[in-house]
Amino acid sequence: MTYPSIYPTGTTIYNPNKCFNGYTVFQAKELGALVIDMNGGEAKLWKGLHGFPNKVLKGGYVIGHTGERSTKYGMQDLRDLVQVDWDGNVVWKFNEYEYIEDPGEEAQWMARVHHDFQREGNPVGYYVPGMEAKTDQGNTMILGHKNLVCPHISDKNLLDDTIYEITWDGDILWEWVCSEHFDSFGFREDAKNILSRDPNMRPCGGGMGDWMHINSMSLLGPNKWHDEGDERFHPDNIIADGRETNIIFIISKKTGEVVWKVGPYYDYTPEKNLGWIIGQHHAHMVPRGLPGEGNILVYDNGGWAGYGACHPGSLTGTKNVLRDYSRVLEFDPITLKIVWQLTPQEAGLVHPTDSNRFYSPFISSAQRLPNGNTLISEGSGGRIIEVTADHELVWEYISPYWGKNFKMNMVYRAYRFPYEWIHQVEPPKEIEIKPVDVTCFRMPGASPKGPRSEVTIEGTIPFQTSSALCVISDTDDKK
Amino acid sequence: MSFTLFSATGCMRCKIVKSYMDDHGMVYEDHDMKAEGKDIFNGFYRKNRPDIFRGEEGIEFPILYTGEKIKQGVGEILAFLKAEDKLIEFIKRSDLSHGWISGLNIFANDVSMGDDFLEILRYIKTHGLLIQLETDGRNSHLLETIITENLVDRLLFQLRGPAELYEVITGFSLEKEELCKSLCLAGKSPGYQIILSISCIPRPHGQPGYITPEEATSAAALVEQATGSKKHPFFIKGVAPPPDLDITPLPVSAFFKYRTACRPYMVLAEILK
Repeated sequence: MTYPSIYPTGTTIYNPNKCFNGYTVFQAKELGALVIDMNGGEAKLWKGLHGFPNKVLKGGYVIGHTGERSTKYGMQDLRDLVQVDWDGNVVWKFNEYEYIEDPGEEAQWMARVHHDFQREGNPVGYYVPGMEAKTDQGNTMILGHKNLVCPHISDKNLLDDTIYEITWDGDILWEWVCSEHFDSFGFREDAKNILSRDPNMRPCGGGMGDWMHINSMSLLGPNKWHDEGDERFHPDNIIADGRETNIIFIISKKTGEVVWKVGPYYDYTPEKNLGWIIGQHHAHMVPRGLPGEGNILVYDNGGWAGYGACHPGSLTGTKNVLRDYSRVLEFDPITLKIVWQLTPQEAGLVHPTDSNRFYSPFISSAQRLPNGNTLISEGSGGRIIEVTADHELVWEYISPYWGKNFKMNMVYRAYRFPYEWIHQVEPPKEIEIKPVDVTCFRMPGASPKGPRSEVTIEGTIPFQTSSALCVISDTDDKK
Repeated sequence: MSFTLFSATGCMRCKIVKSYMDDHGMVYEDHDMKAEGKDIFNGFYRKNRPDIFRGEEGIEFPILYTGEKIKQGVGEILAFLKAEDKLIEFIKRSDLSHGWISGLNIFANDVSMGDDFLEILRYIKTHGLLIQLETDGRNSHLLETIITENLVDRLLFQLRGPAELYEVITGFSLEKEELCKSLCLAGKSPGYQIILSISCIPRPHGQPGYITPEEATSAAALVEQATGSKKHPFFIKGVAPPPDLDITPLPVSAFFKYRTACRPYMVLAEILK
């Protein structure tokens, strides 16, 4: 978050020997679905294709959307879900979830898809050896929107989240509506109070409460917990998370019931082990076949989220949990113990005084790679990194694409996939990029490091090893 | 016939009944169960408990006692006062409260009492209750009057199936033109909903079976054809099979196929929950 005015974009660090080398796809802001190689070379652009997110399928296909509903009337409603081939042909499309007639707009069917979808064959939408998403058949799970009034939550118009399953031919087979399970989420009375008065009202369409704001949805897939007989983790069950409520939850595909959850509160055991998860994204179970399989991986944004008691940082009780740095957590869903994490401390930053250098208060993602590395999109700053299990930064890329309308280079989510998924082009050369010593890195015209005149003052003593700043940090002398 | 009325302080429905009885010169004993009539009502309640309906919000008032019969709720009582039991097909118990009345319909095969029913509707309407009325396509002439006179605030059109199956499903014959006329009128009514029932019906050969998605499509197409519009509040409702039939109720997931089947003709089709 403390970016200088001038800094490089593209790949800035690359260690080919330690990376899981492949292509990375992400939605370049206001441009399209972009595939880059490890050196930042742009292997493919599906121009104009929206991506919330984009996912590449083996064979050179990409899934995305042809457009977004007018933001005057809807919020994050993508109008369809399409599968596009290498040459840009739409080979599959779904939009018949709701018929929308917005004033001044063409009446049309819309999928109202947002944030996530999963094609049969792969539970999480990213590369898992032996679990390839189908490209010419199969069902698709879609995270959607529906407007409704649920007086049990609030008298306001709600922008509710739904999850629905469609066949290859577009028949809807299954649907889950979030507000119908409100009582399963365990809100305290103060949260219910503020939720009823302000369910995260957004101005579009005359006002609608985006009360839960689910931002990821994936299947559990086969996993050891279910093998051991725990039905909560049935492979068909679905894990999702609600950004506004700080809840990560699993629903039974069979009954629709919430069968496992963490949050919305983290001040009592067992959630206390996790620290307070805030405004999280991309919570999913690491699929079978990848290191850490069966654990929950999540980008815990920090920022502002939750409903509850008022305090000076939240005068009404909305977004009443705050933190100005991010964490990536991998935790055991049974014990809720953290088994791996990347926080500012593991990233080598002084905590908390420099922690906001690892911080994206919205969007972002984390993908477990087959070699145990983790691909992380620190989304608000357009930074995608790959770190090893022992937290070494082995790849870093900064998106060079800033939006003209929304002036950020944000990356909602990024996915790494193997070179062979795109057979249409030759695999690229992999050229190491060693980290530049920034203490000597200068712009043209800038003076080099080092004083032109130097004198040492007699009687001075060495600088303290403990910082003892105005605020306490992890460098303070513990004695 | 002697009348005893049990009412409650501040009860709007009780006032409507009292007003009707006063207007028609009917003599009655009034006991306010929240005031002086509390003990009398408690005794009456203990004696007649099985015959007194208790809803989610408690006992519905007013209650009329003739010495033989107990009538409860403004709709049932006005119907009885107007025509004893002759309006029983038109007026049932209301399950709505807070200013609304339901249980009113124009399903009757014998419409000789239609004018009396309209008179009751007018009385209720002029005394401030909001009216929910149901129709299934029969008696379009009554529906026309009701809509013209603005006697309904929410119309539920219970569409039993496609026109060609209506007689099989309902047991009464209904001309397609009559059904189309009623559908057309429904679209002009405030707060209307068209509700397609997915029920188990007799089949010519073999076991009874549910209306199929294809037949649901035909029903949705009929609505479009009758009204010239694809955009009606159109709902699909599952009807549990009769207990004597050994047929499993359709699971919730089965209705998505019906919704998909109806949407080419009724784009706003939704599953009624």
